[in-house]
Amino acid sequence: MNAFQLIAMSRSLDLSGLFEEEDAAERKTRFTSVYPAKDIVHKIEETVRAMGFQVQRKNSRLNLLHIDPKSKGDRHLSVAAEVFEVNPCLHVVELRKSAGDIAQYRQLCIKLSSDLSLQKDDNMWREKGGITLPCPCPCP
Amino acid sequence: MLQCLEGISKLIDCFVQSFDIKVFKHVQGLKDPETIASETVFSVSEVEALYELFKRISSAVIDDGLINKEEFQLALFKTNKKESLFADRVFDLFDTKRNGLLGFEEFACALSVFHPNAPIDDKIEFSFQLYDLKQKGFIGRQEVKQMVVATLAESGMNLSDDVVENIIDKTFEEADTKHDGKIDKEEWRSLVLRHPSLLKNMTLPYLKDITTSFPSFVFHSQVEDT
Repeated sequence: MNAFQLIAMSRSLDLSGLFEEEDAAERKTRFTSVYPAKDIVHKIEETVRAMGFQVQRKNSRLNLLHIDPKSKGDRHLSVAAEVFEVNPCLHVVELRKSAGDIAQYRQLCIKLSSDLSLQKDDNMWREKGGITLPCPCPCP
Repeated sequence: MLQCLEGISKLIDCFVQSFDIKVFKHVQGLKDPETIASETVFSVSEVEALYELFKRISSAVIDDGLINKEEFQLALFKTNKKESLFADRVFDLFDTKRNGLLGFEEFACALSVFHPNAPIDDKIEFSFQLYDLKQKGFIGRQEVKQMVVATLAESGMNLSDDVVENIIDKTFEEADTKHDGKIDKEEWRSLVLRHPSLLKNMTLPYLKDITTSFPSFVFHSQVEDT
């Protein structure tokens, strides 16, 4: 990953906050994960489907949609999830809410970030339902 | 002595009230949207809509028709308690008159660069100046590190110093084609043309729909309906 790609993710450089009533920073969440990229994507898909989301995959980007049958179209929770590689052992997951209830979005973020950002020492070599968690490179 | 001061203060109060305060306030209506439209990529109705946004932001703390740094921070972060390396830099780039305040023209001209239709050269120029923290005409390694660290700190991401150094090494390997330890304008331009995603924060899609988000009322508009 290029340093400038990382910098461009900065919330302070996102001027869309000027146009919004609610805090733009609340709509974006980022956390790191030591899982390999495709495992992260798989894990997100698995988790959100269990929560009742529909998932659309496009390369390393997932569009997540949660339709609440009781509410109108614009209240459906729509979130984009993207995975960026910092180095082969470290990835950044970015979640962005594009529509819907902020409280629901926060719940989703908490669930995903706690599932995905394992501490490095915790059972790094577990095998879980087809997902292995090897870390082939000498991580710092 | 105290009575004397009180007297003077009452006199001053009278004086201020009798003055027509409007004389000091900026004219509320936008006088010349056509001029601003001609200097930017915005249409006249987009300029008028942008002015509605400007009025909202500029009256948040002091209602003087100008955006000060506090109002800018408030508009960006919804709190004036958050200081930011980047927000400061952005403000300074908007503030072409260098007086610590943003008038509507400065605001519109700067935001014009962020419009999806703005020329990519303007975006390249703006982003280069943004990252050239020390304004030396090049982006140095120190500056890149400062910005990476600031970005990580604000999102609560933890990367070890080694990882950060490694990222910067790789970036300079690719960007610094002249191998002089700095990224100059030419090198920046060529880097960005190879990786257009580096400019993603230089485009605000909102600006295309600004007339719907900030409709200016009919009696303000100087644009005739065709």
